[in-house]
Amino acid sequence: MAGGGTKSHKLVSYAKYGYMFILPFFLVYGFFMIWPFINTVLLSFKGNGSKVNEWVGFQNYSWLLFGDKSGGRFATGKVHHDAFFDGFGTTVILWAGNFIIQIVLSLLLAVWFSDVRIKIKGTGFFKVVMYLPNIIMAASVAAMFLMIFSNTKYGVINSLAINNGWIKDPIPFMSNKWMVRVIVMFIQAWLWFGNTMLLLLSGIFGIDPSIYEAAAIDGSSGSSTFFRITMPILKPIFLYVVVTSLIGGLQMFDIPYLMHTGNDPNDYLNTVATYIYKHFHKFNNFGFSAAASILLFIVTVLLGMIVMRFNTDATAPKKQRKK
Amino acid sequence: MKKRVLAAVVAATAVLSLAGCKDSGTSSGSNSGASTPAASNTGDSSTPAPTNSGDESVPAGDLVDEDETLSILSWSNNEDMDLLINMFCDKTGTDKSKIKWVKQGDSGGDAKTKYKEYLKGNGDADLLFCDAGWAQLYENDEDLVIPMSELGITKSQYPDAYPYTLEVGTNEKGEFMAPTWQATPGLFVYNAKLAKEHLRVETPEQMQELVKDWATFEATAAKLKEKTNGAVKMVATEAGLWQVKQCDKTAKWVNGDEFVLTGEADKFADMAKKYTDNGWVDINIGAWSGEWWATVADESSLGEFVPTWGLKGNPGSMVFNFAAGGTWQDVEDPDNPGQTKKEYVINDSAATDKLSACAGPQSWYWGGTYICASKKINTKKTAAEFIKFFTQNADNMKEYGQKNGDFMNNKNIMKEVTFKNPVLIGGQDQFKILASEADKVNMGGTITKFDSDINDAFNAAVTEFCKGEISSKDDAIAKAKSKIAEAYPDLKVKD
Repeated sequence: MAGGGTKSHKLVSYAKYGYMFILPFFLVYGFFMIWPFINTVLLSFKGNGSKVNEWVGFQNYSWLLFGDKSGGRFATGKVHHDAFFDGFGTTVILWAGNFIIQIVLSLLLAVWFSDVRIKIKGTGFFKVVMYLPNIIMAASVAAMFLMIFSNTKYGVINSLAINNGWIKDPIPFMSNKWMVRVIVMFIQAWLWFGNTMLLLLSGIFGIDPSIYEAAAIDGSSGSSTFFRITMPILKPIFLYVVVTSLIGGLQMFDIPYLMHTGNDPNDYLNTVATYIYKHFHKFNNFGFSAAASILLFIVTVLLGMIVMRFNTDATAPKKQRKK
Repeated sequence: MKKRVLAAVVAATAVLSLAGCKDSGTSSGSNSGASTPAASNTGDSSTPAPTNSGDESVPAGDLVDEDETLSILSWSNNEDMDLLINMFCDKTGTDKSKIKWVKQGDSGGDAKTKYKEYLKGNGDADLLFCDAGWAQLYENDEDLVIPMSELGITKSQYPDAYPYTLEVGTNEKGEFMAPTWQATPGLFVYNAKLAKEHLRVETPEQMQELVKDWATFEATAAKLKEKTNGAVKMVATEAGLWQVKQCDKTAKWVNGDEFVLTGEADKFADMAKKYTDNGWVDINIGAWSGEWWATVADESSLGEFVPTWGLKGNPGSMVFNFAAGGTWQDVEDPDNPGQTKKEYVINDSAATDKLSACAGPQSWYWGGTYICASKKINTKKTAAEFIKFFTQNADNMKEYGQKNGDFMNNKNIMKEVTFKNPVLIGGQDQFKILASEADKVNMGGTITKFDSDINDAFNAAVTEFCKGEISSKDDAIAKAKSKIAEAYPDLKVKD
């Protein structure tokens, strides 16, 4: 009939224009994402230093993952294995440290801001202010904190403490392994807690207020409302926050890289990403750099799969329970 | 389904046509510009490639320009560039638009990696200004640079140059790759007021007596510490000490393809530790920072080791910053309009009654700009003229040195040139002391292309050792070794 005719006609035109409209995206995506990715995979099978054009198979991977047992203490495979895993360890430490501070703070704030009984005034203002650190450039943040925590007596904290007679010699913040790491954890948490808070807040606002009302009528305390109602319903969003933060954290680069004064980045802040950058940009070790990138990619994909899994699992049983 | 296939075909043709456009666009672009040098290198009959020709070279008359512009690669904070280009253009009547400064990297350190990326692209490049620390990296790269003999320039044309500069400019094969117009020995610059107060020193000659060798230098440091209760350190930075001591080497860092820790470097680790532990230097002060300028300016340190280019006395030079001092201020952050950051802002004028210079405990050099010729060079005639203008022509060199306070790479000239330093007390002429110091610098064949990175890696480990972050010297050396092995897979690093 006429309806059928129009339908098929519609299909033709929509498909054609549809593909044309999405074409630019795929062109850009192919050129800037797919091709570099393929190129990185190819590079990861090639050598390093003067052997960048030689095909070495899985050598970069095996050295990065398992080291080179045949060589001495300073064999290429051994030192790169150590550097890679050291970077990985540092990355996880820096991420975990920042995430604990960040999640506690943002969860607390999100709960307070959403609690109708507390009625905080000017939540809009606070939300904006707390999100602000996130929009400052990493370079500026690093420069600012370098100034505050400088090792020398000219640093903000050191000069304050010395001038007031609290300490005699300046505290070497930047060259103490744990002090500098804690500083970076703090910076990362400070940069991101606003963002995380907004995500959690939107999750909490999604919870049906009648549940809270019922709990209040039943005399539920604040903590049991939080643990029995808010947290279980918030779980998918919470997991999403954890895993996206972990993925972002694995690629942590800017602050750790920028927190140094001399020529070379601070040794206690070597992450996987700074390892990749260093060997790609400064030395001609493209093979190691590419292999490390691919390994990082695999870990990220695995984490991504886990979050998908959690998300579906968390909703599926609930539906069953409702029945 | 058919429609989908059709759409895919449409999409594919669109991609291909776009790609086609792009290809033809770039290739036509490169035909007009950068592909010419490649053609000239292979097909030009006027320059029969003089391979491995020890000292024989192309006669100057055979050199031709195939391009109008002489493109010189240099980093963007190289303050010599404008002076050189202006003087060359004024004297030879060359139009300034014919000489192009291709800025690569912000500083000498950045340029090291940036040149490589640039040279592998399509951009025009005739000459490369390389820092002494890494010039060998390019001098030994046959794919990127050509020997000076192809420009008709040979080592024999530099009988009066300071010998160490020729050593820096010669590659592993013994080919002369990079001449320079400057020699860069250094002196010990000190605060004369502090020296008078605590060491009873009136003149630079008397000061020199107190720092004439390392044993005396250390004795003076100890005396200074005692007199001032540790408030004044002998020398501003450990990095400054390392700049001086790395000129002591008697062996190469790399022998064949094996990394060798030299005895002198090993001794330096002990020396740096001793200076730190005795309070003769503040290990936490790094070079090229506001703190560095401040530590000399506010009299926390007696002095610092300064090379020729830091002694010129113009605003921005090391001695100027030391003499002027500054204040920590909140300044507008250029990267972030509307926000401020803490910065040590150097005052506009420098004190002229503060600093003096003496030779110091040993002769040494730091940096220097060496001129390499790119393999893509297509203006050989002008390039050769430019190099000879500043590195061979005595009159030009004299004028340049006199005007800018640059220490020129010619022994005869430097005996005659005098300079009234705008910052040092009484306009002290640093050239007088430098001339004899430059002659004594002898690297004895120890220069390699790995030097700048190895020097940095080694000193990074030594600094950590001094700060107590690494507990023993052996651990520090092991750390330096693993850093070096990590950076250079081509090197064998043994226990």
